[in-house]
Amino acid sequence: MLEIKNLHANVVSKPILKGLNLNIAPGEVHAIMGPNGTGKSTLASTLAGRNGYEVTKGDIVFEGEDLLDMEPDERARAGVFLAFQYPVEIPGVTTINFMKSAINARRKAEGEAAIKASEFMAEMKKNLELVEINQEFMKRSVNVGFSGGEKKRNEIFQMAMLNPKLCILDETDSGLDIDALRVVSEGVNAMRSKERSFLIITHYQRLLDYIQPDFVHVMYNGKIVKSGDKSLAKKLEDKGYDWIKEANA
Amino acid sequence: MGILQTYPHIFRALESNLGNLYNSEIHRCKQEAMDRLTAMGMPNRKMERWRHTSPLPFYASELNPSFSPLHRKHVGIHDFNRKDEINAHKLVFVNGSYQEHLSKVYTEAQGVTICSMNEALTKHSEHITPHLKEICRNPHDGFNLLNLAFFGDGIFIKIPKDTVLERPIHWIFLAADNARFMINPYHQIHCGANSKVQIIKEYQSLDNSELYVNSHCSTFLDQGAHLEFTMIQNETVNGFHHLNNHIVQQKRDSNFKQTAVSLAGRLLRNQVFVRLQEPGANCAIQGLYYGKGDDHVDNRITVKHLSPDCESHQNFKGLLDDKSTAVFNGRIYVEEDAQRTNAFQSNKNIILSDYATVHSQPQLEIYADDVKCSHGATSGQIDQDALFYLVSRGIPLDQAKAVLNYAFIAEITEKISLPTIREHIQELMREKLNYAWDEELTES
Ligand SMILES: Nc1ncnc2c1ncn2[C@@H]1O[C@H](COP(=O)(O)OP(=O)(O)O)[C@@H](O)[C@H]1O
Ligand SMILES: [Mg+2]
Repeated sequence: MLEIKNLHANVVSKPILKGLNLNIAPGEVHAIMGPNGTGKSTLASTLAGRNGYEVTKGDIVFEGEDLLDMEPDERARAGVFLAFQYPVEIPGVTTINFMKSAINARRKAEGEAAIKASEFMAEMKKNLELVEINQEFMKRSVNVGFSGGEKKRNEIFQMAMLNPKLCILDETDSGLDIDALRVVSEGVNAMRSKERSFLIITHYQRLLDYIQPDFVHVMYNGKIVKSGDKSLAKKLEDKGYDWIKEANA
Repeated sequence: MGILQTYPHIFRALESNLGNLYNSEIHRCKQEAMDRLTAMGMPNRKMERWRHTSPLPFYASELNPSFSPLHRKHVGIHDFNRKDEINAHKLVFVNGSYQEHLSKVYTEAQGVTICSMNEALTKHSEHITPHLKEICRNPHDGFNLLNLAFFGDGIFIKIPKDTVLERPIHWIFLAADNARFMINPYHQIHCGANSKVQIIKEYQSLDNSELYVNSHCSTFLDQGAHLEFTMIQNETVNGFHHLNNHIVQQKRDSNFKQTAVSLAGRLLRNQVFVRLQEPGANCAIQGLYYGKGDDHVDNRITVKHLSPDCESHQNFKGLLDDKSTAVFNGRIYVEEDAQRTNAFQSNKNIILSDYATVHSQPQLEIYADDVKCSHGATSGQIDQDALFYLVSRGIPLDQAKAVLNYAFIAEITEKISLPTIREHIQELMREKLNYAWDEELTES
């Protein structure tokens, strides 16, 4: 589904990603862990196509297509979803209209008719229940006045609404209390399927108690320096990142 | 010949048209205004108040000497959009003169007067002359005197106390007949104690007319009166150049709200001057603007807190594209004994092009010590984080920009209390901004 080959990327002319390789097959859940400032969010932003993240070398192939050739909105419509580390507040734009437009943008691009009201409402209701958000939130401006946990749940809600092929979660667990962590994880687990893949970026092992990854990668200084199964996450939890830093000094 | 030399000649031509007002007190006020104007002169760009907005286009335009309020123009009821879906009294003007055959004024409670200024000058001159004299004594500037000397028509509204107007007043100002001249409408609005009135003022140009409108409106709110005034400036061609001067005097516990919606116009200057004269009076002066091409939008607001326990809000938001310019000058003046004043002001702009300009200038003069006051002015680019957030969900970039721009200025419309007017304005804005948010769902 996703093949990242020798990816190099700059942020404000500073090299951050320095030869990153990663393959994700359909249905797989990959976790990326690593110390702060190592480039995890940069990887997520580069995949989503954010302005200012300049790929200097390497390839990203998504579903057989050159992802780097696509605009950010095209990537989203092709099935890439990024749950933001810091979800943005958008005054004056309601979540319900936002989601209708996003769904219809994809349908339009695929030559389909706009979603029917009843179908949309049913999807919305189901997914709101999944992340335990009150329907009232839909009529409020996107993320405005939401607590940290509500914002993260809203990310998972949007992810469920848009039905992506590749879900990238950037530290969705940070700042969540245990209750919200459970809700978010259950949301993700409910969405796991043979076709859908996940790239879960996290700083802590804690999330991986809830979402069992197939692979765990350690990222350091702009590349993946170690890969393994979920026992690697346990080892990082016990020993911290110092041994990784030393081995790659 | 300089323009100041031409005005007295044109004035004499107008005098001969005054008919039964000839030699009346109103005529004498006009003469005095003309004399004072000759002595005072017209503003020029060296004056601080005109530094960012040039009065010159007004001087280049011809004053309409044959301006005769009773002249029936060749505009039919189907030549313009009367917007009958807005259930209101319709007061229609063509090139500044009232058109009875296009208008519709319903019967309201006893004592309610809604008529043209031309009619009021003969029937209600006792309510008008004192204010003309007052303006003559304390003119704002040369344009003020020019307006007094040359005005012929306008609106006159007088609402008795304890009267809630059943319908809003929809005031439609048309430019037609390929007119190319300056007009000087004069208006007066009196809201009696505890009355409630809604006024919507709208402009439409029907052809290639280029009207220069130097208008003056004096508004009086008695104790507990409520007035909501909404102005829509949305000419598609460069039909209107505006200098709107609105002076509002508020008594105890009265409530005034003005919203200026400026979606197009080569030169717009909306000047509002509010005097909060008695305790408990409050006002909200707000506006939104969207500049394109070389549009110029200037909002000049002064709120004077002359009494304790009053509250004022100034809130303006704008989008500036192409080579457009916005000027905001918001003044808050708090007199020494106006204790427990609340005064707030905000002007926020999003600049969409490298060539657009904003001049935003707050002016605070506070002489009381127990005052809550805030002001802020910002101008910046569209929020890149918000833009990326929308786009990352699959919304095309242009659509995402339009949605954010719309949301930014639409905040102002939320405070318009009549739903039909609010929705009408939002619809105009969506059209202007090419906003295509898929809010509509197909029914199943
Ligand atoms: N928008 C940005 N502007 C400047 N520097 C950035 C920006 N985004 C990331 N960086 C820098 O890139 C490096 C990697 O950051 P990031 O990808 O956020 O790391 P992580 O998510 O692993 O904590 C850091 O040194 C950070 O300071
Ligand atoms: Mg990060």
